[in-house]
Amino acid sequence: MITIYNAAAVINGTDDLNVYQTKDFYGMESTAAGVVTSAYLGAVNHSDAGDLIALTVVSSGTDDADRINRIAAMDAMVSKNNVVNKQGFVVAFSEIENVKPGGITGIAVTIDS
Amino acid sequence: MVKPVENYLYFALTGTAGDAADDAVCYPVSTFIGATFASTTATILRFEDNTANTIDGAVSKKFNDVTLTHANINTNAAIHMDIVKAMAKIMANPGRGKVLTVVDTANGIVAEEFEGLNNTTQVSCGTAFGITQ
Repeated sequence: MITIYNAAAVINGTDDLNVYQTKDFYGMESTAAGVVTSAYLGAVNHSDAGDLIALTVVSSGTDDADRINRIAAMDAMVSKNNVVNKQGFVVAFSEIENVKPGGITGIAVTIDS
Repeated sequence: MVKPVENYLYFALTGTAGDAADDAVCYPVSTFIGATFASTTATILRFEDNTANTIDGAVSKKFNDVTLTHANINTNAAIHMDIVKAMAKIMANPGRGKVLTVVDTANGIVAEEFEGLNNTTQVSCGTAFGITQ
């Protein structure tokens, strides 16, 4: 299975469209209030460090609400990366297709350099 | 160790594919790592390095590259996504042990999954394959 991320409405950079093998999904960590960062095996420049995808969720201002929002985003990404279908792909997030699961409002990709 | 039976992806450049070094490549589906933007008219596919050292278990930080040339985003803003979705469908072929021709530019052959994406510009391999980039 292939997982597709599209971070921008116009694809004109290596961080606007990123595609990974679902099996190369290495999990997530909270990296700020309202931000969860996913890691995949690097697929753009090198593969000695991961490509990181920061998922921004609504930051409410309270720790408890942030925790709930963060879990919703993590839950959505786990769900996406566990999809199995005949087409062989799943769109985890897309600005072009307006696919924004789990309250994720935007993503930012940092590719291994 | 018994190597699992799996499908392989075949790509060939324009011209006399097979006559010269790096005119054509064939990689196991399982070695596909990912894909990303290459230009407004191209998407780059990454495959695992297949040098002898890597096959023997050495750690590699390199890739083999296949660049697919296609319609401009001015024609189809989602063309890069459409290309990778078509690639995913090809790689999800339920057959085992097949050589799946993705793009054979020399012979004007493209996988049927690309149908509908060829209306303005033929999907092709117009850029040299990058071996262990």
